[in-house]
Amino acid sequence: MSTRLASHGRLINRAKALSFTFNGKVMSGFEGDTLAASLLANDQMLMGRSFKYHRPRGVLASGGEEPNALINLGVESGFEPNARATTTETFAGLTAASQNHFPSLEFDLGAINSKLSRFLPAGFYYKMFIHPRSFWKHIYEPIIRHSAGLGKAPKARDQDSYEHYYHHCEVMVVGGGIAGLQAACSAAATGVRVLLVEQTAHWGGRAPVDGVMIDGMAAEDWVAQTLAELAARDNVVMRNRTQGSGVYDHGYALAYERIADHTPGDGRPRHRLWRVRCKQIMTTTGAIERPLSFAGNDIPGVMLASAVRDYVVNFAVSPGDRTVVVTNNDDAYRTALCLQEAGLDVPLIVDARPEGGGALMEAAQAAGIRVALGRGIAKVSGGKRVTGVQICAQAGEGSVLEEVACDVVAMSGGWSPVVHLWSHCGGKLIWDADQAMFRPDANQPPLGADGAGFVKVAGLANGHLRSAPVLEDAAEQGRAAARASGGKVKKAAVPVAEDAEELALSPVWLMPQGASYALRSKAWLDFQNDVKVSDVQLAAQEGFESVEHAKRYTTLGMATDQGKLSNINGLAILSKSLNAQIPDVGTTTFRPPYTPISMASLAGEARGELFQPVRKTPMHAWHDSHGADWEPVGDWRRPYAYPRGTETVAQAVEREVINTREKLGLLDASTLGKIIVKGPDAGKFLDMMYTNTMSNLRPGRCRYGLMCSENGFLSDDGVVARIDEQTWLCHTTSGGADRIHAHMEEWLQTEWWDWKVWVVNVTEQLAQVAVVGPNARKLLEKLAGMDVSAERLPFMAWADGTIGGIDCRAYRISFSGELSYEIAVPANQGLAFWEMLMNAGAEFGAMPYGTECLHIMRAEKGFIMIGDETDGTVIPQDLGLSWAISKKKDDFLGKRAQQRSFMDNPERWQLVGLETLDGSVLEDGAYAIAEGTNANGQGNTQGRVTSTYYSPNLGKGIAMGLVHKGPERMGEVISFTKIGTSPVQAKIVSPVFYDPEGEKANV
Amino acid sequence: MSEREFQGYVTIRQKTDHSMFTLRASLASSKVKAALETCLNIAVPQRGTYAQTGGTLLAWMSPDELLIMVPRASGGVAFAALEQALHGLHYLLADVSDARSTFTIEGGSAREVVAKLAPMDVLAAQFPVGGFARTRFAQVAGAIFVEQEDHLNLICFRSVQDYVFGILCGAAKPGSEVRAQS
Repeated sequence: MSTRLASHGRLINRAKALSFTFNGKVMSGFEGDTLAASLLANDQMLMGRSFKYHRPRGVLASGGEEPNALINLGVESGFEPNARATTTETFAGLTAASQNHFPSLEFDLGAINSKLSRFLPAGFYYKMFIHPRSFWKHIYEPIIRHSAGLGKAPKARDQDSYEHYYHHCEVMVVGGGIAGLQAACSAAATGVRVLLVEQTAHWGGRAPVDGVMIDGMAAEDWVAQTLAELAARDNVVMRNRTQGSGVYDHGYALAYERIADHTPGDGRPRHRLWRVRCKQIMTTTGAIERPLSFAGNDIPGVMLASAVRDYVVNFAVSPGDRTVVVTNNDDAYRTALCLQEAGLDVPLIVDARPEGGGALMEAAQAAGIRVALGRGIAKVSGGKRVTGVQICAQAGEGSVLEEVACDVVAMSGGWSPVVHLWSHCGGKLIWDADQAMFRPDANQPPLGADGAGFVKVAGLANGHLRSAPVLEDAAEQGRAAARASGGKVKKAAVPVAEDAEELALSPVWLMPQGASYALRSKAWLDFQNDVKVSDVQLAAQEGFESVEHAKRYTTLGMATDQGKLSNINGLAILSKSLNAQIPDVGTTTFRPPYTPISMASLAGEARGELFQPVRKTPMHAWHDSHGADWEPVGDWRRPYAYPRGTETVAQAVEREVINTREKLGLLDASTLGKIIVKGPDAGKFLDMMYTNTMSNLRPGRCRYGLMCSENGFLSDDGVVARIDEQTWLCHTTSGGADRIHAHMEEWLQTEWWDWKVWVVNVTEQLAQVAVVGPNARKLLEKLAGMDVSAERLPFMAWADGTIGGIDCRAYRISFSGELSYEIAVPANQGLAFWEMLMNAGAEFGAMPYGTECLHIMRAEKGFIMIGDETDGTVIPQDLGLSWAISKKKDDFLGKRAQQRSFMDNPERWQLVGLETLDGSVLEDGAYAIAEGTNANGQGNTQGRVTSTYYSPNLGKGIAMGLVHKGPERMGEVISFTKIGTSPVQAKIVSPVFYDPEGEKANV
Repeated sequence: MSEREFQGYVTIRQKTDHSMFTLRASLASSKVKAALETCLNIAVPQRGTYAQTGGTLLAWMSPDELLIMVPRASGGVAFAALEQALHGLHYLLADVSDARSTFTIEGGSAREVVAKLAPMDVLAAQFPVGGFARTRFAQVAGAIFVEQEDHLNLICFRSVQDYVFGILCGAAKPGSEVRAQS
């Protein structure tokens, strides 16, 4: 059984006991524990079930590479699935539950899959669920989805807050082991700004566990001293609980800080995403121990040798009473020595090397531990817990030589440098055959914009397994990174590290090397996704020679741990099966993030009210408090209608339309774009921007204009007012102000840079109110201040003045066909002006109206709307707007394009009005049906609906649409599609449905 | 416009006591520079900076754009004086007082709060007192300048002032200090 030890535990605070629950059971741990350590201390070795076969699984590792101990953490709004117990710090009140089992962790029906494993080989899903195709959507997908995923998706809204932080520095060091600390010191000494991040809560990495001495002191003391030195520098920022997650182009990196995972509810943000811009990135990310592939290597109690001693030394947790160590290298002997020193039993060290190891082996033997050389493990005995191992000759096929009872197997297959961050941006690897590892190729680093490498690597991550070269490498690379980012490098002494001499490892990819199929099919490579040696061999046999294909076929390395433990072992098996060398097979691609990071940290502050910036007019709050039903228009919110009492939105729209046509309506038109164009060449410039002529507009007058892209397509429209000799004010559509402003600037800056024209977007400076309806003039006259008579302010004129004491500019323009003024006032006066109009207008029947009313009134008048009648493929000529295209001008944007054969073409669909025979409302976007079918067997079309409404004034549906040769076909009846029913018949009519003579506006 | 304030680990306050103008003109033109200096008694600032005399502030927006701030009480007079001073030159002067909103961020950690929202380097050495920059705050465009070491001013568009106030309050929330947590 696993239990808490009386000795050891450098990271725990025994004075602070904490209670937490696992699967509802109350357990206790200490401050400083990881959850995995706490669980082991409570004899909870079984922590989860595997993904495919639902095999019982215990914790395997002690860090971020853990594949098995994935748990559901928290409840409801604090719930998170797939948390690694090895990286979760235990806190008082923590609630954890195991995943992927039914009905319980101890007894799981899904474990039947394990018995059926020979029917669930690699590629099973591909082979099984390919035929028949008709089953894909409704049968296979639901089944696979049901069984997919380990944890459950959270259902409640996340209770926590998250944020981003932009950080700039010269050198970012990822990994706070002794290499990272030394690299940071060496870089910081040159004066450059250094950021040092460490993913765990503790500095120093493995060195304190492994008994390294530095400059004559214990590694732990050196770490403390170095930390103090770094902390004293004002050019160094250090963050623990912060993982360097991803390296991107141009010295951009993401770091993921887990601020309050271990202190939930303390008011701090849970996670912070550091968005780092630096010149050089140092990856001192250490190395990960590899498992060995032998039968039963996934049974709870089989652990990485380094993890076993981590639990003892760091957390005072004994994973078991009797541990058999199995290894192909010297390092694992440290585990045996550590266990024995802690008073635990190590009956045997199984060393696959016939000659065994060096000083550490001698020390173990001297301590009385039996070492079996040239041996391997044939098979592990046990179900939910290891009960013993069967020993065989490593060179053989697995004949059992002896059986040794034990409850823990500590395995070590050597070390793989963590090359992930080196590789994210294209750093290449080389195969180091002596150490059986891929390590960074210093000659092929990730390259920056200047063609030079911007990532450096040092220490274990660079393939140095001994402490002395680790520190030398870290100091050298730290200085190099500083030099490359502008630091002034001086010579400095490098601390000298000492550790035990080690002999070379012997690569062991399968144990025993001639293992039978039965053994290979129980030898796990990928623990989380249940991929075994036999699966990879099958993939190779079936022709999946590329490592990327084999990965996807077998799902090797595709689980949430992304193959941190399985990658190298898997491709070694693959290369052997293909009779190729490991470097020729290569690795799969390393992609960020290093381990999964929270989606919420990526979102940062962008959630809830702040998910997206909403643009508000000065009258926004008034609309809101008067029941506005909102509609997004660009980033603005505009009232769609103002339902009153029990009114439906549709009823409100109807009321607003009738009231505006009969009495008086007020529209918040502040969102309209307003761009000032000024200069000696402004007229010439606007003549290029617009299809019609603006240069000959007289000051005091307005003109409707169209803008096209250089491809001739209609892009925006609006009323242009000539302010003075050199100044025009251009109105744009609500969503178009920024786009048209940028469009103007682009032409002025890149093509017509020598034209004397300045442009300023003043959209937000002005609140604008449309005062619309037969009583519009009465209201303005009542408020008084300026002459708004037909004589002084005729149609398409404007004038400056005051209304009700507020400075304004009044435009006599109409988008409704009614007597209409649009009045612009400074935005700060907008609300006061609006309320004054509402109050004073009460006696004239003033009501606010929304965008739908606006739409209906403009459609009744046959006025087009950018975005309805246009979709980026429509030219003004399609919309009967040829009158607004100058024939006299030499040029304007779009002119050439509109002369192309398919633009200047009578066959194009053109704008008409549409009236259904039964008075119903056509569907938006409905197609006009034509005879026959096209080459794809689809029905032919001859037009489509672009705008369609119920007209309360006319009491029937009205629509506009583009129809093939439409204007020539007045009175013709054609059919339009209607989803789910038979087509609807509509007559082609003039698009002007209401007051065709324009008498209402002409008063 | 309502004045708002939030007391977090820095203080966020909306500031409404000034008028703001946009001037488009070539800042390379000696005539433009002379006219401005005569009218405002301030030299045209260099790229990335602003210049201030009394309540009047000139900020460099681009090679052909200045932002001008004057006390609100004298806004109308200042606008007219500028129009007169620039008369005859090629320029565009627009009153944007109501188009933009200004927030002050005050406190020892003012820069840190801004660093949660803006991708630029706001550390003192890179962005000293007198510095002016156009950048992005979370999802919207804006400008920022350093009035004092612990006093930054943020300018955004009026329509998104609620959003900007919201993200500033979030960034200044007590407990979310970056530096206190190392």
